[in-house]
Amino acid sequence: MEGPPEIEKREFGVGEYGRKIARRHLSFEDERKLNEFLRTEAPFYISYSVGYFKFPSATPMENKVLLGSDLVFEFDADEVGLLSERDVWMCDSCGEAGFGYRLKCPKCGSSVRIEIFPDPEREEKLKEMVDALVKDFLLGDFGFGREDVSVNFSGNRGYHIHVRSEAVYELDKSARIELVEYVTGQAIEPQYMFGGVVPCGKDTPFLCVEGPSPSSAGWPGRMARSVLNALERGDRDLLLRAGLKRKDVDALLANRERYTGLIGRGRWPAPKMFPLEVWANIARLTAPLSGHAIDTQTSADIHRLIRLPDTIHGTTGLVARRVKDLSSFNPYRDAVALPSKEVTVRVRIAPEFELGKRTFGPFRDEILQLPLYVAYYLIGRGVAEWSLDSTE
Amino acid sequence: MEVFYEVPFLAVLEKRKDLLPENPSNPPESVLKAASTHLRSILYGKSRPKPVHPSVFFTEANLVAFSPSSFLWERFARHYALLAVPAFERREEILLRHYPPSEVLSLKEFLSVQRPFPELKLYHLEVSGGKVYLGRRAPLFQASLLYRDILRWISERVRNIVVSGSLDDLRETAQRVLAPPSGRKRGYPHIQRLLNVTGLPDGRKRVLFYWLIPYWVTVEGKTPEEVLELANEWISRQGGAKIYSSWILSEAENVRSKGIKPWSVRKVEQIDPELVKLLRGMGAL
Ligand SMILES: [Zn+2]
Repeated sequence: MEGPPEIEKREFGVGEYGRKIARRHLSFEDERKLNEFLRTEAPFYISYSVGYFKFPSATPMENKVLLGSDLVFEFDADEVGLLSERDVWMCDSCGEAGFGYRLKCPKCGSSVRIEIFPDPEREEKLKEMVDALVKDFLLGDFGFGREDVSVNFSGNRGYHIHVRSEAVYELDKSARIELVEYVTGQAIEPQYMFGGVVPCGKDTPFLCVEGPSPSSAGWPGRMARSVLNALERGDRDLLLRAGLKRKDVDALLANRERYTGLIGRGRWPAPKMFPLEVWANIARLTAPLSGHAIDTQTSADIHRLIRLPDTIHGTTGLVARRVKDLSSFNPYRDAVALPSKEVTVRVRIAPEFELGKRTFGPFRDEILQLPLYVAYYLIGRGVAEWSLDSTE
Repeated sequence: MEVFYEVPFLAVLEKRKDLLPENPSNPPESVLKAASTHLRSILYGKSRPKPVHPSVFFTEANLVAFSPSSFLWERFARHYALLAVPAFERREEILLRHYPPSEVLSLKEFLSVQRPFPELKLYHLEVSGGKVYLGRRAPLFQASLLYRDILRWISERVRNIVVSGSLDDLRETAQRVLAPPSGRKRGYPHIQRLLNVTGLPDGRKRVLFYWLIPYWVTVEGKTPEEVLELANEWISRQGGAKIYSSWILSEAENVRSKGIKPWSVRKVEQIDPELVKLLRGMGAL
């Protein structure tokens, strides 16, 4: 078991079933001590601090003396807004359950909980977003080295992207929030990305606003490219969603060549014709990472504990794997760790899903013999329970 | 101890290049004389501190700082700052620092400075390969460094000042002192800033109600139709939902019939402290 870098400066926490952190303020001098602990205590969950401390086991927090901190972006499938027909909603008040996405129980009107199930399409999209975060933002804009960035499957529904670099080590919370806001791009304010009024061209009386061109770096360039792309594709739907009126969309597309030519040179139509907010909206709507993909507060929290890679996630029974090659990684195949010995479970509801190279379900109110790793996963999702008929 | 400080607001400074003498490294005798007379009157007289020059700032507690703007300003500011030095009793009470203009920074350098200007957020700038390209916004970043140093300077000397809350004050003071001269519009400096504000997320209707509509109607004598046009232009710079023309027109009519004047900031603050706080936070008041 490989420990995190600078293990002696990290705080560890362990959890039990149903309680992710039951004990914290633990610390280990080295990897050997950590492994000894894992062997004797075999905790359900083990997490370590993103922060580096002078006295990692000291309490309260301020006595630990924070030296620095990794930057960790957390991605969760249920936060990125990728819904799937394979998800399950369960009403804990009346016991009703079904497939797809619901806010309220149709039977009793209570709020329901949503349980995420493996969906290959969603997995691909999630990986595309992780890939965009790493390539476009962390390596591209921020200039981190490949060796500074590591991607881990969280063991549950998403990924943790760790950045360990001298450049982020001492950043405070507000700087970290700024980095998260940067990668989602939702906070851009258009008025700050444009300059003054300039002639649109040499031989024209029309006035334009000076702004970014497609070759500009960062979000200014991203905005210019996404607007050009929308115009070139004639994407009416996007232009309408960005806040343009129908007649403005017509006007814009009817003169598409003129406008793409102007924006290509960093000359934008006057705000009187098309409000600047529209351009920012296009950038936000086409951002590689959707608005809620990354939780700002958790990602900026320098005091939190995060799952130790290559340990089992207590809820799912899946391993929080380090991902070497994202494109070929499939958590529901590569992170399965529990044995496939058959056990008996009573399943309330489950869609068809793939786990450990086999396909299961759909199930509804059935008593079944299933491999332990599947049974564990379903119980962790709260859609199954150990059956009394179990022959264990 | 009371501390006064005056800080430049560089966007405004840039608009006032007319104040610069032709040869900034060698200002004419008359300019120097006027400046030092002014300086003395503030130091030994009872008048409220004002900048000797938009780039030189000092206080009754003996703080001098100068603008780190583009090179012309910098050289000029330096000259005035040095001129101010003999007027102080203890040299160590003077903050004289030189910020070389830098248009490209490392990500880390950029993020380690708290910046009071919303346009200096990372996502508004060109960022590539771990470098932040400030371009024409470099002076704003340098002003942020200056703020940081002034805050540190104050906090080291004055215990009863809460420095974390001072950034807005600094900016507010700067804007008040350096707002562009506005001829007949004098008397309503806050309205000039409100007229120029952009991207106001909230409270647009109240700003129109307390200040802008009364100003256009009563001070500038605009008709309700003209007010509607001015209001729509102003609203278009704020973003957010539509404000109905009928409301603007009826409010303008109401103001005209009663001769209502723009409200004072203090009066609005009594009944609507949230709005005033929001606007101050944006540097719009
Ligand atoms: Zn129910």
